[in-house]
Amino acid sequence: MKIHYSKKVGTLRARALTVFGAAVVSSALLLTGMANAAALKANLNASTTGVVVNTSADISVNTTHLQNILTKGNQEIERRLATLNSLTSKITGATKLNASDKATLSAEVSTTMSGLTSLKAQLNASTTLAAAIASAQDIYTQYRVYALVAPKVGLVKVADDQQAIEAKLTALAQKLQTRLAAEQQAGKNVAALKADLSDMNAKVSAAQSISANVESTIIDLQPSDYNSNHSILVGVNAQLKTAHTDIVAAYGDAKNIIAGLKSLKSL
Amino acid sequence: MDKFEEQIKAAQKAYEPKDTFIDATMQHIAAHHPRRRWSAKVWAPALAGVAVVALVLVALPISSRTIHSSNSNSTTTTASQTQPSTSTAQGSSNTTSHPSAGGTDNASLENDLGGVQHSMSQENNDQSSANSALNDQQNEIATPTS
Repeated sequence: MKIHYSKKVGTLRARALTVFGAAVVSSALLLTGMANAAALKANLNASTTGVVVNTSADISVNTTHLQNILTKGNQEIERRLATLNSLTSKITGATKLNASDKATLSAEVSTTMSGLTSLKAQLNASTTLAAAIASAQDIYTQYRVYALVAPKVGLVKVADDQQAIEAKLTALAQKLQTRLAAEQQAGKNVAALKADLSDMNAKVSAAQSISANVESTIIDLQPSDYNSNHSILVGVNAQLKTAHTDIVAAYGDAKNIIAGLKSLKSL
Repeated sequence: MDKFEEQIKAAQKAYEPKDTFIDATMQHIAAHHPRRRWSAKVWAPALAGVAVVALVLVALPISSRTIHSSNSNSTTTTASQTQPSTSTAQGSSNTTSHPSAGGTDNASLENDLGGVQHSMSQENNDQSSANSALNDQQNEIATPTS
Protein backbone atom coordinates (compact mmCIF):
# COMPACT_ATOMS: atom_id res chain seq x y z
CA MET A 1 0.00 0.00 0.00
CA LYS A 2 2.88 2.34 0.84
CA ILE A 3 4.52 1.58 -2.50
CA HIS A 4 1.30 2.39 -4.39
CA TYR A 5 0.80 5.60 -2.44
CA SER A 6 4.32 6.87 -3.16
CA LYS A 7 3.98 6.02 -6.89
CA LYS A 8 0.73 8.02 -7.12
CA VAL A 9 2.34 11.03 -5.40
CA GLY A 10 5.25 10.87 -7.84
CA THR A 11 2.90 10.81 -10.83
CA LEU A 12 0.91 13.77 -9.53
CA ARG A 13 4.04 15.86 -8.99
CA ALA A 14 5.22 15.07 -12.51
CA ARG A 15 1.86 16.12 -13.98
CA ALA A 16 1.76 19.29 -11.92
CA LEU A 17 5.24 20.26 -13.05
CA THR A 18 4.28 19.62 -16.67
CA VAL A 19 1.17 21.77 -16.39
CA PHE A 20 3.10 24.54 -14.65
CA GLY A 21 5.80 24.43 -17.28
CA ALA A 22 3.24 24.66 -20.05
CA ALA A 23 1.59 27.62 -18.35
CA VAL A 24 4.92 29.43 -18.02
CA VAL A 25 5.75 28.85 -21.65
CA SER A 26 2.27 29.99 -22.76
CA SER A 27 2.47 33.15 -20.68
CA ALA A 28 5.87 33.95 -22.05
CA LEU A 29 4.63 33.51 -25.61
CA LEU A 30 1.54 35.62 -24.91
CA LEU A 31 3.57 38.42 -23.35
CA THR A 32 5.99 38.37 -26.24
CA GLY A 33 3.13 38.63 -28.72
CA MET A 34 1.55 41.52 -26.86
CA ALA A 35 4.87 43.31 -26.64
CA ASN A 36 5.41 42.87 -30.37
CA ALA A 37 1.91 44.13 -31.11
CA ALA A 38 2.44 47.21 -28.94
CA ALA A 39 5.76 47.92 -30.59
CA LEU A 40 4.20 47.56 -34.04
CA LYS A 41 1.36 49.90 -33.10
CA ALA A 42 3.80 52.45 -31.73
CA ASN A 43 5.80 52.28 -34.93
CA LEU A 44 2.68 52.79 -37.02
CA ASN A 45 1.56 55.78 -34.96
CA ALA A 46 4.96 57.36 -35.11
CA SER A 47 5.25 57.10 -38.85
CA THR A 48 1.67 57.80 -40.07
CA THR A 49 2.67 60.73 -42.29
CA GLY A 50 5.48 58.77 -43.79
CA VAL A 51 3.44 55.75 -44.60
CA VAL A 52 3.50 54.91 -48.25
CA VAL A 53 0.40 53.07 -49.33
CA ASN A 54 1.42 50.33 -51.60
CA THR A 55 -1.58 48.10 -51.83
CA SER A 56 -3.95 48.53 -54.75
CA ALA A 57 -6.93 48.62 -52.34
CA ASP A 58 -5.44 51.60 -50.47
CA ILE A 59 -4.69 53.44 -53.72
CA SER A 60 -8.28 52.96 -54.81
CA VAL A 61 -9.59 54.35 -51.49
CA ASN A 62 -7.34 57.41 -51.73
CA THR A 63 -8.35 58.15 -55.31
CA THR A 64 -12.02 57.96 -54.38
CA HIS A 65 -11.43 60.21 -51.38
CA LEU A 66 -9.59 62.75 -53.52
CA GLN A 67 -12.37 62.71 -56.11
CA ASN A 68 -14.98 63.25 -53.40
CA ILE A 69 -13.14 66.27 -52.08
CA LEU A 70 -12.80 67.74 -55.56
CA THR A 71 -16.49 67.19 -56.30
CA LYS A 72 -17.73 68.59 -53.00
CA GLY A 73 -15.23 71.42 -53.10
CA ASN A 74 -16.42 72.48 -56.54
CA GLN A 75 -20.02 72.33 -55.37
CA GLU A 76 -19.24 74.48 -52.36
CA ILE A 77 -17.38 77.03 -54.45
CA GLU A 78 -20.22 77.22 -56.99
CA ARG A 79 -22.75 77.64 -54.20
CA ARG A 80 -20.74 80.52 -52.80
CA LEU A 81 -20.30 82.14 -56.20
CA ALA A 82 -24.08 82.03 -56.73
CA THR A 83 -24.62 83.64 -53.33
CA LEU A 84 -22.04 86.31 -54.10
CA ASN A 85 -23.69 87.05 -57.45
CA SER A 86 -26.96 87.55 -55.64
CA LEU A 87 -25.24 89.86 -53.16
CA THR A 88 -23.80 91.91 -56.01
CA SER A 89 -27.29 92.49 -57.38
CA LYS A 90 -28.58 93.47 -53.94
CA ILE A 91 -25.73 95.90 -53.37
CA THR A 92 -26.07 97.47 -56.82
CA GLY A 93 -29.83 97.83 -56.49
CA ALA A 94 -29.78 99.16 -52.94
CA THR A 95 -31.04 102.74 -52.80
CA LYS A 96 -30.37 103.43 -49.15
CA LEU A 97 -26.80 102.14 -48.97
CA ASN A 98 -24.49 105.11 -48.68
CA ALA A 99 -21.88 105.50 -51.42
CA SER A 100 -18.95 104.55 -49.22
CA ASP A 101 -20.54 101.34 -47.92
CA LYS A 102 -21.70 100.43 -51.39
CA ALA A 103 -18.15 100.77 -52.74
CA THR A 104 -16.66 98.80 -49.84
CA LEU A 105 -19.15 95.94 -50.05
CA SER A 106 -18.99 95.76 -53.84
CA ALA A 107 -15.20 95.56 -53.74
CA GLU A 108 -15.27 92.89 -51.04
CA VAL A 109 -17.75 90.72 -52.90
CA SER A 110 -15.83 91.13 -56.13
CA THR A 111 -12.51 90.20 -54.49
CA THR A 112 -14.11 87.17 -52.85
CA MET A 113 -15.50 85.99 -56.16
CA SER A 114 -12.19 86.26 -57.97
CA GLY A 115 -10.43 84.56 -55.05
CA LEU A 116 -12.85 81.65 -55.05
CA THR A 117 -12.55 81.30 -58.82
CA SER A 118 -8.77 81.01 -58.48
CA LEU A 119 -9.18 78.59 -55.59
CA LYS A 120 -11.41 76.41 -57.73
CA ALA A 121 -8.66 76.08 -60.33
CA GLN A 122 -6.16 75.32 -57.59
CA LEU A 123 -8.44 72.69 -56.07
CA ASN A 124 -9.03 70.99 -59.39
CA ALA A 125 -5.30 70.86 -60.02
CA SER A 126 -4.72 68.98 -56.74
CA THR A 127 -3.10 65.58 -57.25
CA THR A 128 -2.63 64.61 -53.62
CA LEU A 129 -5.11 64.16 -50.85
CA ALA A 130 -3.28 66.65 -48.64
CA ALA A 131 -3.30 69.38 -51.30
CA ALA A 132 -7.00 68.86 -52.00
CA ILE A 133 -7.87 69.00 -48.31
CA ALA A 134 -5.87 72.22 -47.87
CA SER A 135 -7.61 73.87 -50.83
CA ALA A 136 -11.02 72.71 -49.62
CA GLN A 137 -10.40 74.15 -46.18
CA ASP A 138 -9.47 77.48 -47.77
CA ILE A 139 -13.00 77.70 -49.16
CA TYR A 140 -14.30 78.64 -45.76
CA THR A 141 -11.25 79.73 -43.76
CA GLN A 142 -10.12 82.28 -46.33
CA TYR A 143 -13.44 83.69 -47.50
CA ARG A 144 -16.17 83.12 -44.89
CA VAL A 145 -18.91 83.80 -47.41
CA TYR A 146 -21.73 82.47 -45.26
CA ALA A 147 -20.28 83.14 -41.85
CA LEU A 148 -19.35 86.75 -42.48
CA VAL A 149 -19.71 88.28 -45.95
CA ALA A 150 -23.41 87.61 -46.61
CA PRO A 151 -24.60 88.55 -43.09
CA LYS A 152 -22.38 91.62 -43.18
CA VAL A 153 -23.96 92.87 -46.41
CA GLY A 154 -27.42 92.30 -44.96
CA LEU A 155 -26.67 93.99 -41.65
CA VAL A 156 -24.96 97.02 -43.23
CA LYS A 157 -27.94 97.43 -45.54
CA VAL A 158 -30.31 97.46 -42.58
CA ALA A 159 -28.07 99.89 -40.69
CA ASP A 160 -28.00 102.24 -43.69
CA ASP A 161 -31.77 101.87 -44.18
CA GLN A 162 -32.24 102.89 -40.60
CA GLN A 163 -29.95 105.87 -40.95
CA ALA A 164 -31.93 107.05 -43.97
CA ILE A 165 -35.15 106.75 -41.97
CA GLU A 166 -33.59 108.54 -39.03
CA ALA A 167 -32.58 111.42 -41.31
CA LYS A 168 -36.16 111.66 -42.57
CA LEU A 169 -37.53 111.55 -39.04
CA THR A 170 -35.08 114.27 -37.96
CA ALA A 171 -36.22 116.52 -40.80
CA LEU A 172 -39.84 115.78 -39.97
CA ALA A 173 -39.24 116.53 -36.29
CA GLN A 174 -37.82 119.93 -37.22
CA LYS A 175 -40.91 120.72 -39.27
CA LEU A 176 -43.14 119.57 -36.44
CA GLN A 177 -41.18 121.78 -34.08
CA THR A 178 -41.74 124.78 -36.36
CA ARG A 179 -45.42 124.03 -36.70
CA LEU A 180 -45.95 123.50 -32.99
CA ALA A 181 -44.20 126.79 -32.25
CA ALA A 182 -46.54 128.54 -34.68
CA GLU A 183 -49.58 126.89 -33.12
CA GLN A 184 -48.40 127.80 -29.64
CA GLN A 185 -47.86 131.38 -30.74
CA ALA A 186 -51.41 131.38 -32.01
CA GLY A 187 -52.58 130.49 -28.52
CA LYS A 188 -53.18 126.76 -28.98
CA ASN A 189 -52.44 124.24 -26.28
CA VAL A 190 -49.71 122.06 -27.70
CA ALA A 191 -48.18 120.76 -24.48
CA ALA A 192 -49.07 117.13 -25.14
CA LEU A 193 -47.86 117.36 -28.71
CA LYS A 194 -44.59 118.88 -27.58
CA ALA A 195 -44.13 115.97 -25.17
CA ASP A 196 -44.64 113.59 -28.09
CA LEU A 197 -42.09 115.54 -30.08
CA SER A 198 -39.60 115.35 -27.24
CA ASP A 199 -40.05 111.58 -27.08
CA MET A 200 -39.74 111.38 -30.85
CA ASN A 201 -36.42 113.24 -30.79
CA ALA A 202 -35.09 111.00 -28.02
CA LYS A 203 -36.07 107.83 -29.90
CA VAL A 204 -34.52 109.06 -33.14
CA SER A 205 -31.33 110.00 -31.35
CA ALA A 206 -31.08 106.57 -29.68
CA ALA A 207 -31.71 104.79 -32.96
CA GLN A 208 -29.14 106.94 -34.75
CA SER A 209 -26.49 106.05 -32.22
CA ILE A 210 -27.10 102.31 -32.60
CA SER A 211 -27.35 102.26 -36.39
CA ALA A 212 -24.22 104.34 -36.89
CA ASN A 213 -22.28 102.22 -34.42
CA VAL A 214 -23.33 98.95 -36.07
CA GLU A 215 -22.42 100.24 -39.49
CA SER A 216 -18.97 101.45 -38.49
CA THR A 217 -18.26 98.30 -36.47
CA ILE A 218 -19.03 95.69 -39.07
CA ILE A 219 -18.25 97.35 -42.40
CA ASP A 220 -14.52 96.60 -42.10
CA LEU A 221 -14.74 93.08 -40.66
CA GLN A 222 -12.65 90.53 -42.53
CA PRO A 223 -12.63 86.70 -42.62
CA SER A 224 -9.54 86.74 -40.41
CA ASP A 225 -11.56 88.62 -37.77
CA TYR A 226 -14.19 85.91 -37.89
CA ASN A 227 -11.52 83.20 -37.67
CA SER A 228 -10.25 84.83 -34.49
CA ASN A 229 -13.68 85.30 -32.99
CA HIS A 230 -16.65 83.32 -34.24
CA SER A 231 -19.01 85.41 -32.10
CA ILE A 232 -18.11 88.61 -33.88
CA LEU A 233 -21.62 89.16 -35.28
CA VAL A 234 -23.49 87.88 -32.26
CA GLY A 235 -25.76 90.58 -30.87
CA VAL A 236 -25.43 92.90 -33.87
CA ASN A 237 -28.84 92.00 -35.22
CA ALA A 238 -30.37 92.43 -31.78
CA GLN A 239 -28.94 95.97 -31.68
CA LEU A 240 -30.47 96.77 -35.05
CA LYS A 241 -33.81 95.44 -33.82
CA THR A 242 -33.57 97.77 -30.83
CA ALA A 243 -32.93 100.67 -33.20
CA HIS A 244 -35.89 99.52 -35.27
CA THR A 245 -38.11 99.58 -32.18
CA ASP A 246 -36.98 103.15 -31.49
CA ILE A 247 -37.74 104.11 -35.08
CA VAL A 248 -41.22 102.62 -34.87
CA ALA A 249 -41.84 104.53 -31.67
CA ALA A 250 -40.62 107.78 -33.22
CA TYR A 251 -42.85 107.19 -36.22
CA GLY A 252 -45.79 106.65 -33.87
CA ASP A 253 -45.00 109.92 -32.10
CA ALA A 254 -44.88 111.78 -35.43
CA LYS A 255 -48.20 110.25 -36.43
CA ASN A 256 -49.78 111.32 -33.14
CA ILE A 257 -48.43 114.85 -33.48
CA ILE A 258 -49.80 115.23 -37.00
CA ALA A 259 -53.18 113.90 -35.91
CA GLY A 260 -53.10 116.37 -33.01
CA LEU A 261 -52.28 119.23 -35.34
CA LYS A 262 -55.23 118.27 -37.51
CA SER A 263 -57.52 118.38 -34.54
CA LEU A 264 -56.11 121.79 -33.58
CA LYS A 265 -57.22 123.06 -36.95
CA SER A 266 -60.84 122.25 -36.22
CA LEU A 267 -60.91 124.13 -32.92
CA MET B 1 -52.06 114.39 -144.73
CA ASP B 2 -54.31 111.59 -145.68
CA LYS B 3 -58.00 111.52 -145.52
CA PHE B 4 -58.27 109.59 -142.33
CA GLU B 5 -56.04 112.10 -140.49
CA GLU B 6 -58.14 115.00 -141.73
CA GLN B 7 -61.23 113.26 -140.42
CA ILE B 8 -59.67 112.84 -136.95
CA LYS B 9 -58.62 116.51 -136.75
CA ALA B 10 -62.03 117.60 -137.83
CA ALA B 11 -63.57 115.44 -135.13
CA GLN B 12 -61.18 116.88 -132.48
CA LYS B 13 -62.04 120.42 -133.53
CA ALA B 14 -65.69 119.65 -133.31
CA TYR B 15 -65.33 118.40 -129.70
CA GLU B 16 -62.89 121.11 -128.42
CA PRO B 17 -64.45 123.08 -125.53
CA LYS B 18 -65.05 126.65 -126.41
CA ASP B 19 -65.09 129.51 -123.97
CA THR B 20 -66.76 131.99 -126.15
CA PHE B 21 -66.40 134.92 -123.72
CA ILE B 22 -62.65 134.49 -123.24
CA ASP B 23 -62.14 133.81 -126.88
CA ALA B 24 -64.10 136.90 -127.78
CA THR B 25 -62.22 139.04 -125.24
CA MET B 26 -58.85 137.76 -126.35
CA GLN B 27 -59.81 138.24 -129.94
CA HIS B 28 -60.95 141.79 -129.13
CA ILE B 29 -57.71 142.56 -127.28
CA ALA B 30 -55.71 141.00 -130.04
CA ALA B 31 -57.59 142.99 -132.60
CA HIS B 32 -57.72 146.40 -130.89
CA HIS B 33 -54.99 146.33 -128.21
CA PRO B 34 -52.21 144.05 -129.42
CA ARG B 35 -49.74 145.07 -126.57
CA ARG B 36 -52.25 144.65 -123.76
CA ARG B 37 -52.66 140.97 -124.56
CA TRP B 38 -49.12 140.25 -123.39
CA SER B 39 -49.31 142.58 -120.39
CA ALA B 40 -52.53 140.98 -119.18
CA LYS B 41 -50.88 137.57 -119.26
CA VAL B 42 -48.03 138.87 -117.06
CA TRP B 43 -49.81 141.17 -114.63
CA ALA B 44 -52.83 139.06 -113.88
CA PRO B 45 -50.90 136.27 -112.15
CA ALA B 46 -48.59 138.80 -110.50
CA LEU B 47 -51.53 140.67 -109.03
CA ALA B 48 -53.04 137.44 -107.85
CA GLY B 49 -49.75 136.57 -106.13
CA VAL B 50 -49.52 139.95 -104.45
CA ALA B 51 -53.08 139.53 -103.26
CA VAL B 52 -52.24 136.17 -101.72
CA VAL B 53 -49.13 137.56 -99.99
CA ALA B 54 -51.14 140.48 -98.68
CA LEU B 55 -53.75 138.14 -97.32
CA VAL B 56 -51.08 136.06 -95.57
CA LEU B 57 -49.47 139.15 -94.09
CA VAL B 58 -52.77 140.37 -92.79
CA ALA B 59 -53.95 136.96 -91.57
CA LEU B 60 -50.78 136.03 -89.62
CA PRO B 61 -50.77 138.94 -87.17
CA ILE B 62 -54.46 138.42 -86.56
CA SER B 63 -54.01 134.74 -85.79
CA SER B 64 -50.99 135.42 -83.56
CA ARG B 65 -52.99 138.02 -81.71
CA THR B 66 -55.77 135.52 -81.29
CA ILE B 67 -53.36 132.88 -79.91
CA HIS B 68 -51.74 135.39 -77.61
CA SER B 69 -55.06 136.60 -76.38
CA SER B 70 -56.24 133.03 -75.81
CA ASN B 71 -53.02 132.27 -73.92
CA SER B 72 -53.38 135.31 -71.81
CA ASN B 73 -56.94 134.32 -71.20
CA SER B 74 -55.90 130.84 -70.08
CA THR B 75 -53.16 132.31 -67.91
CA THR B 76 -55.66 134.62 -66.41
CA THR B 77 -57.96 131.69 -65.83
CA THR B 78 -55.21 129.70 -64.18
CA ALA B 79 -54.26 132.62 -62.06
CA SER B 80 -57.83 133.22 -61.13
CA GLN B 81 -58.13 129.55 -60.24
CA THR B 82 -54.94 129.58 -58.22
CA GLN B 83 -55.54 132.77 -56.40
CA PRO B 84 -58.63 131.69 -54.55
CA SER B 85 -56.93 128.52 -53.31
CA THR B 86 -53.96 130.55 -52.17
CA SER B 87 -56.16 133.01 -50.50
CA THR B 88 -58.13 130.15 -48.98
CA ALA B 89 -54.92 128.66 -47.60
CA GLN B 90 -53.87 132.02 -46.26
CA GLY B 91 -57.29 132.49 -44.88
CA SER B 92 -57.23 129.20 -43.04
CA SER B 93 -53.73 130.03 -41.91
CA ASN B 94 -54.93 133.27 -40.47
CA THR B 95 -58.01 131.86 -38.91
CA THR B 96 -56.68 128.52 -37.69
CA SER B 97 -53.00 129.25 -37.11
CA HIS B 98 -52.13 126.72 -39.81
CA PRO B 99 -48.90 127.90 -41.41
CA SER B 100 -48.00 126.42 -44.76
CA ALA B 101 -44.54 127.96 -45.10
CA GLY B 102 -41.60 125.55 -45.13
CA GLY B 103 -43.76 122.50 -45.80
CA THR B 104 -45.23 122.43 -42.32
CA ASP B 105 -48.85 122.28 -43.44
CA ASN B 106 -50.78 119.12 -42.73
CA ALA B 107 -50.50 117.78 -46.26
CA SER B 108 -46.73 118.23 -46.34
CA LEU B 109 -46.30 116.65 -42.93
CA GLU B 110 -48.42 113.66 -43.93
CA ASN B 111 -46.44 113.36 -47.12
CA ASP B 112 -43.21 113.28 -45.13
CA LEU B 113 -44.70 110.69 -42.80
CA GLY B 114 -45.60 108.57 -45.83
CA GLY B 115 -42.00 108.80 -46.99
CA VAL B 116 -40.83 107.53 -43.61
CA GLN B 117 -43.28 104.66 -43.75
CA HIS B 118 -42.10 103.70 -47.22
CA SER B 119 -38.50 103.62 -46.03
CA MET B 120 -39.52 101.56 -43.02
CA SER B 121 -41.09 98.91 -45.22
CA GLN B 122 -37.84 98.80 -47.21
CA GLU B 123 -35.96 98.36 -43.97
CA ASN B 124 -38.26 95.48 -43.00
CA ASN B 125 -37.49 93.72 -46.27
CA ASP B 126 -33.77 94.15 -45.76
CA GLN B 127 -34.09 92.97 -42.17
CA SER B 128 -35.67 89.74 -43.44
CA SER B 129 -32.78 89.28 -45.85
CA ALA B 130 -30.29 89.89 -43.05
CA ASN B 131 -32.08 87.33 -40.87
CA SER B 132 -31.88 84.78 -43.68
CA ALA B 133 -28.18 85.48 -44.13
CA LEU B 134 -27.59 85.02 -40.42
CA ASN B 135 -29.53 81.75 -40.46
CA ASP B 136 -27.38 80.60 -43.36
CA GLN B 137 -24.20 81.06 -41.32
CA GLN B 138 -24.32 77.37 -40.48
CA ASN B 139 -23.72 76.62 -44.15
CA GLU B 140 -20.14 77.72 -43.64
CA ILE B 141 -19.50 74.77 -41.32
CA ALA B 142 -20.14 72.23 -44.09
CA THR B 143 -16.70 70.78 -44.62
CA PRO B 144 -15.99 69.30 -48.02
CA THR B 145 -12.94 67.42 -46.74
CA SER B 146 -14.69 64.29 -45.53
